[in-house]
Amino acid sequence: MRTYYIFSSGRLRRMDNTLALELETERRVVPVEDIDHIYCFSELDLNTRLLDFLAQKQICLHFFNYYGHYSGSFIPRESQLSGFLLVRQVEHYLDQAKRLELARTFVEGALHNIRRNLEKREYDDICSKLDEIREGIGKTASIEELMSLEAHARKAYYDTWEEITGWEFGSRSKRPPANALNALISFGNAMMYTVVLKEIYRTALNPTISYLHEPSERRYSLALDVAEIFKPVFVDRLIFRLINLNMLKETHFDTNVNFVYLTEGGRKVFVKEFEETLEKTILHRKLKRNIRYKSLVRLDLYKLIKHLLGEEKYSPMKVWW
Amino acid sequence: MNSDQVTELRKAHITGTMVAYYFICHRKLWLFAKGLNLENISGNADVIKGRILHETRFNRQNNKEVAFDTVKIDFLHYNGQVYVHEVKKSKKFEEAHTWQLKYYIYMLQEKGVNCSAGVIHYPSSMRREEVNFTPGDRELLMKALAGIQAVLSKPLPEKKAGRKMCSRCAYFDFCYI
Repeated sequence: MRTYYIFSSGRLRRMDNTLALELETERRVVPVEDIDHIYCFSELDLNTRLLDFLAQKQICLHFFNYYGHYSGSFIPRESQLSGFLLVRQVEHYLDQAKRLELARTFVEGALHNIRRNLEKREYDDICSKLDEIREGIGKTASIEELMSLEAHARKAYYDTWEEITGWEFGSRSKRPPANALNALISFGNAMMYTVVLKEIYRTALNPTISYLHEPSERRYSLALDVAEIFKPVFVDRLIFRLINLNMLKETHFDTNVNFVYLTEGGRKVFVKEFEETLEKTILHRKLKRNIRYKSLVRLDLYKLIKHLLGEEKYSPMKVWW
Repeated sequence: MNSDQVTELRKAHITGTMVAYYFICHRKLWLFAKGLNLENISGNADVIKGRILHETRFNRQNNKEVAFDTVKIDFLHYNGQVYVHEVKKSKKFEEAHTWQLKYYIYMLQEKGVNCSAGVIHYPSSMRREEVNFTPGDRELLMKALAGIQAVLSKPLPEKKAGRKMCSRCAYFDFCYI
């Protein structure tokens, strides 16, 4: 199963029992059984016949606007439903202690994975600062307190980015990102978010009920919670690599407007490498077999489900390589 | 078993798959019944092969996918009485498959249908097994149905089985992570 990225404008349509992308000059046919999900970065014509077909085949279609910002997704009707699990999810949200416990684990996992990125580069003083912050996680009494702790850690983390990449960073800026690094982070995080969302959608978990983020914050906030854990490993490492290997250059960014965004060429470079990251495999120490990076997301959702069922405490994916 | 208990069983929404799982793994039965079905998302090769078998074999049969109450029967045929047919990929869990079929026969009988036999097809190994429903089976089936309810009434699933068969199960990652 593969992910397809569409960069050229045209019409996406159902052709008999498969998909065809019709461009001005050519028509490309894609075997539908091979599609995991589709990302669309260009203007596309489509009709309900196509959407119905995608729903039948359980394929998600994600849209990004001209500036590479995530606009939304077409997500087929839920095929996995469990009232039982939903009740447990809500219970863990409403019970303040249970909610805080889960929220802490998300932050704990994220910080561990952030720390690993710095440890590899021997930022010892910042690592010990992160350790201090991590120790405070258990003492936080509210989500707000936890959030501010996380913000402190992130600030310390981002302070190293100019040195790691050699690019201007300043501080984290969103909507709109003020410079190229910020644009990369925003774009990468949006990609990570959709990957998690897709995996959540395949389980019986309800994507709108979350613990660290407030459920009303965004449509599918559980994806935000879980993405925290994976961003340092999947996105940040990729950004460092793309810059350090000179795969992304100034020409891949458009600065003509009063903020910065990735050009089509830049996005192509990014998603190609992102896709390769997701497909990389690693020997899982517990399952004792090679699994893909992207499957790590699914496995974490399984662990989360087991936590919600009350079977085993959730321990987030902690990068071991 | 009196008629009250039978009505109660109906309410329990026991499907044919659940009867089969009862004889395979109680943990899988519990998870499946709570809506945590991992068969279609695991990418398990055996599951995919099984689905393709279902989609491609016996397409010329009439009365395919007969669904009523909580059960869905692969196909039926008539020859003096009604025969239930079930298609399976591998003979590994033949006992479970037999009870699944017997449950279908029981459900049909409850509807007043004249049915007491069926066939399990294993097209990938070119085998078929005939199944007859005997009066003694009815009692054993009632026991199994009560057993299923007992499993489902537990607040937690059974511990993972830790058996060799686990490694080929669609629930493996979930149980062993």
